[in-house]
Amino acid sequence: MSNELLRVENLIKTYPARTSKGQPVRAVDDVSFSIEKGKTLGLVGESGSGKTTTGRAVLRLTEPDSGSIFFEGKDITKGNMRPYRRKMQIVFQSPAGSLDPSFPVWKIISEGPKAYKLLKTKREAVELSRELLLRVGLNSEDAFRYPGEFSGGQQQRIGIARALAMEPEFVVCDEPVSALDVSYQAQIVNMLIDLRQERELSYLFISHDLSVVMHLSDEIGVMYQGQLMELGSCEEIAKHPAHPYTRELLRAVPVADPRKAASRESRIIAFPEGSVNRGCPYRLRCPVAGEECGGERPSFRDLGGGHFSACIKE
Amino acid sequence: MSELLKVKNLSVQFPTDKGTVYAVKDFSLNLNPGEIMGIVGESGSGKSTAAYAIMDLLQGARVTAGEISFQGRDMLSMSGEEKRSLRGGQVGMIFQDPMGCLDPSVKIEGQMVEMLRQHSNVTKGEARKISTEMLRSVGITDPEGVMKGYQHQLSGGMRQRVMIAMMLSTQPKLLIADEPTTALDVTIQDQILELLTKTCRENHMAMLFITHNFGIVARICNRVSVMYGGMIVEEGLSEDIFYSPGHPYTRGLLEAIPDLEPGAGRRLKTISGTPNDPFAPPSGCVFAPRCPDCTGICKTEIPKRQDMGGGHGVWCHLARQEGRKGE
Repeated sequence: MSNELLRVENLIKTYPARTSKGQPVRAVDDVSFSIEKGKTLGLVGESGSGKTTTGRAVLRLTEPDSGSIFFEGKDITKGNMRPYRRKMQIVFQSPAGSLDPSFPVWKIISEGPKAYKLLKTKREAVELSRELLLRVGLNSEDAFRYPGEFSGGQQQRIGIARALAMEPEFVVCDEPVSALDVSYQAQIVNMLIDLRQERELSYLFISHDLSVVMHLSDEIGVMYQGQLMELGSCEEIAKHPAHPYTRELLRAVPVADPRKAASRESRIIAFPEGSVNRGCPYRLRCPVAGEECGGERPSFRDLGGGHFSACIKE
Repeated sequence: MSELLKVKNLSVQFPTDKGTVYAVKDFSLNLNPGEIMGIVGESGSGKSTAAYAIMDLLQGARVTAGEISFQGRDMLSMSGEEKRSLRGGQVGMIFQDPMGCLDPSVKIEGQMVEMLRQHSNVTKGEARKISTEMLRSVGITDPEGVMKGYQHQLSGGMRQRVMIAMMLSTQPKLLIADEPTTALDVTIQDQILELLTKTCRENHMAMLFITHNFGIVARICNRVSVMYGGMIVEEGLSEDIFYSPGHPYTRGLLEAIPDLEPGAGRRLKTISGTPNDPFAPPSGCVFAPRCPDCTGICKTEIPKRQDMGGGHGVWCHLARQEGRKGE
């Protein structure tokens, strides 16, 4: 366990009800996982499953209600995050929305290090930005341009350069390629893979796209309505998915191969809206759900080899 | 089989302050009843513009050349009245964002009933009954409850189902689907795709499916046209496009998609470069600036369609040899 970089235990985040009649929403419901140095944990799940909130709560950009976060063995759940912010960075989904349009690129990239007094002069700031821009495949002259002058893929590169400027050890990648076209998506995925190796980075990689997550993660966590349904190595999840929801996800992802696609069965099932207060959150849509699934909330069962599933049926 | 939809050499231009931009150039397709055809491309490739032109829903752009005919009738010369009766009746369209298509101030029931009564001679009671059944057939468990509500009370997946139910209720002969599942989760997407293909099969409805996702194309389409820079660069049966792609762009895209396998951090293949500046399109092949196989002729001459047989066409100067090699 000496290699453990980040550990999250029983993380919970609840948002208040939006209407007087409504129920509070448990965006993150008792989530635990850990990430080793240089490794990547991928979080998949549909929109509203709590994966983004989990990512933000780990960095305390959203304060969790309860639970613990340990970074390099130190409890960072409470108190000042400033000593850790440098080492823990984030790349956002919307490249345009996360870059200040009124700042030139060099200012965006160097703002973090400047806040930590790592850069003394404007010259140093511009110099650092130029270096990082080259590293993410842009031109060093781009330092003086503004975010609006770049395409979506290029803006995402700037977002990555900004995260790198702090020389982090851990980066939360929140849907970094979801807004991009296929040809850019591959470029950014490759860059994240290269950077991970070069700088021994660890990622929490959040995406709704199981193919992308599968491609660059060591471990995968599958989330549904705020809870982790399954956690395990990529190999295990791909070859021996244990939770019915994981199996449904694997089945439903469209693969670019007509023969494979034709061999898979699909069915139209009617499923009710809404969430459940008791039992397994997936039981309303689950093909194997029974009476017993409505009782206790299923807890993680250890299937061995770091593979866990929250299904009581199998 | 007689063609349902025929588009020939369609060109669409956007007049802008900086000059005229070709959004679509020389676009042709034939669609038969019951057939599902995919148009794939990245953003800015012109795939949506082509679809909007067919529906005469273009805003700020105009068709400058070409022919569009539906069941042998020229759509470009139709009166507004005739077009309106086709749209929503025999020709339906579903969009990526159903929220923009449903009226926020009218209950779902009112919208569905109005839609049906516009296009067929039914009473309110009958229309209500058909609507309820349509909602049930798209997998909504409580159609009566949904009908009594407003669109903002529904989730994205439910809203898209309502939109589809509404569009299918008039039993269109052609459905144009513009990325209708992009905003949805894969499990719900899978169901909606199943529903659409089932309708095509059972009602002999034809569908033009616009997407950037090759996975969806593989799942539902009989035929595919690949677009880049406003032009079709390759067309053919799904089998041809996936198993013997003839255009370097198609090959590049297919290789850039991660498959559903543990990747262990392998690098993906990429297409280098960026899309063309619409104000300064290349004078030769649209893909030449990014093409790994680009030669002299590619920079100067626009490639013609190279026939690979069986309806498989490739707009590439090097297609003939390349395609054969791959087989």
